Amino acid sequence: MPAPHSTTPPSAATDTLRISLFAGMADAIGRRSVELAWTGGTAAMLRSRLAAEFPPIAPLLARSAVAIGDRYVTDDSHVLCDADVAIIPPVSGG
Amino acid sequence: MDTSDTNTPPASTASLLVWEPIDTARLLESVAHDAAGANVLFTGTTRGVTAGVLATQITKRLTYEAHEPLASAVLGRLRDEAVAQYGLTACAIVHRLGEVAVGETSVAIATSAPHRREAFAAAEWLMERIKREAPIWKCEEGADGDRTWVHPELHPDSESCSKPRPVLVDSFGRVHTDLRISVTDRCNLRCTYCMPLDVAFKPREELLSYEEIVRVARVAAGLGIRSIRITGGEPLVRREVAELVRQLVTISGIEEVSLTTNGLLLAEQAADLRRAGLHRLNVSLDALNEDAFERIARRQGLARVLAGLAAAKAAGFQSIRINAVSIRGLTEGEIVPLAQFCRREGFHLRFIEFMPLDGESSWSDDQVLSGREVRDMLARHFGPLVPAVRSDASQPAIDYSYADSYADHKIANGGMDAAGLPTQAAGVGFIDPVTQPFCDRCDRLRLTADGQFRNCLFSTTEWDARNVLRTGGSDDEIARLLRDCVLSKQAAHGIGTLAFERPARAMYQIGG
Repeated sequence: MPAPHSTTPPSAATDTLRISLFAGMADAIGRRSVELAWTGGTAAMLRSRLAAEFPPIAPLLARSAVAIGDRYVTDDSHVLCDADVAIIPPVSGG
Repeated sequence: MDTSDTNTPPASTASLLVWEPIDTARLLESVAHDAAGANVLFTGTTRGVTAGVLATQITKRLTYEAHEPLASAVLGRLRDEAVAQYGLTACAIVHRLGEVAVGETSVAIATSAPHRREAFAAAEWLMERIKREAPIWKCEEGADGDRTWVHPELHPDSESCSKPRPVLVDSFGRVHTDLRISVTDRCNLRCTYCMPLDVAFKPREELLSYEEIVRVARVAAGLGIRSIRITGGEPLVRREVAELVRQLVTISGIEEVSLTTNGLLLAEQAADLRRAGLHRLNVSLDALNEDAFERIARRQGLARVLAGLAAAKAAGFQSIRINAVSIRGLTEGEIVPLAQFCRREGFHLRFIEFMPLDGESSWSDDQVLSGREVRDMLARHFGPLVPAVRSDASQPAIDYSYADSYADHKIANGGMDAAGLPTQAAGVGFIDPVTQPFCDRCDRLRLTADGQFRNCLFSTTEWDARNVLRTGGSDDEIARLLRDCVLSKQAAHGIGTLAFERPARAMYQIGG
């Protein structure tokens, strides 16, 4: 009798979220975007993850807004894995 | 009122972000419009010299960067909002990116409108919003070649960024969030400083119905009004005010509904008002002595007011405020008794300087019993008054705590009442519109009982909302009327200056 197929348990979806950075924040880390393994969560959670994994941007991060697509979002907003996320540090246009 | 259709500007095809020098002349031309009597161009130019606290900063070069898709969207939305809010005939915004030499234009705004007030105000408003919300950053290169990205302390308010909120801003930058609505010109008292003995009230059909009031309130809330105060005459003489309250508290955007009353009918209505959702109560009471009360009000009623106050407390109203008008020769003897009463009962007491809006036209300078004098009287009796921390910068009263109860209050209630509103210490405050005008912080607008918008107690012009309501006007027209009213607001009420003109209406007709 042939051995039963071993079934591998389905792995949790591990998508990668790409986050765009700008100005002083991009300078602080030397990159214009970073990536995080992301299985979904709020903008607030995203902030915590970013601060933890990229310490140089943490100080500005606390004073920055989160934008998805063409809108700013509040901290309790949900961030999908395919979201077009950007961190907006304190602005100085105009 | 200008009724020409000015709310459909040509769809702007001008780029919002550019990488080369801005053609400001062409930008101004681009907003020309048949219906425009005013065209405004604002250019923001890069400074080479910035005076700082410690040293003068020299800038050699500026570089601008943006999150371009978001910036285009934000600028586009701001432009559309400006057109809608200010009734512009056209509007164009351009922000430059990349390297901008000193003295060159980094941002340009062009607006056009039927009249100059809107054109100027819109440009000002847009600059303010662009600076706060546009995801654009500048990098300054100093004389020594150091490059620094500018990230100011004031960070973008993500709440306002994600939900563009229309605001009623006048030409002095004052944001209006408070609407006083008078529901009647009638009153059950005849206070000498407000109403003449022989008075003629408006026929009922000239007053707005509750349906009309709620409709106006809804439009106002959509424009940024967050709090409503119901006044009169005496609001409680109007039937079923609680029903009006019930409807107003449910309007989206309205955070607080309060009411000012002389208290005579409060004993019967306090519970209903509380159940309807009324947040706060102000009770006008100028004297604790029956004779003094009657001399001022020209009617009896002190006992009923006291019963009303007790009922209000029993109904669960917290932070009840007593408003007492100070009049030289009339109320000096009532100041200390009132203060004692309020301290005992836990009411916050406020003294208001007598203002020139009485029915008998009998006000003159020497009749002002100033807040300062009242303060001195209280201090002599109760000891020094301790300035209280201001919870609301736009509130006209300067508040104090009594030194002996100061410590108690700090421990007591952690600052919030059952409704989640900040409580006030049972202290004493002073509203001194004559000796300390607070016009620069004014955030309030008024709707009279007969449906006229006013931007100031003392203004000599009104805007006829009732006419719009009763001739089939749209909410948009009501909104435009309110905006016009705001934009015409003067810098100050001008009491005591040569320019001051007594308004034709008395207080009871405008709404206290």
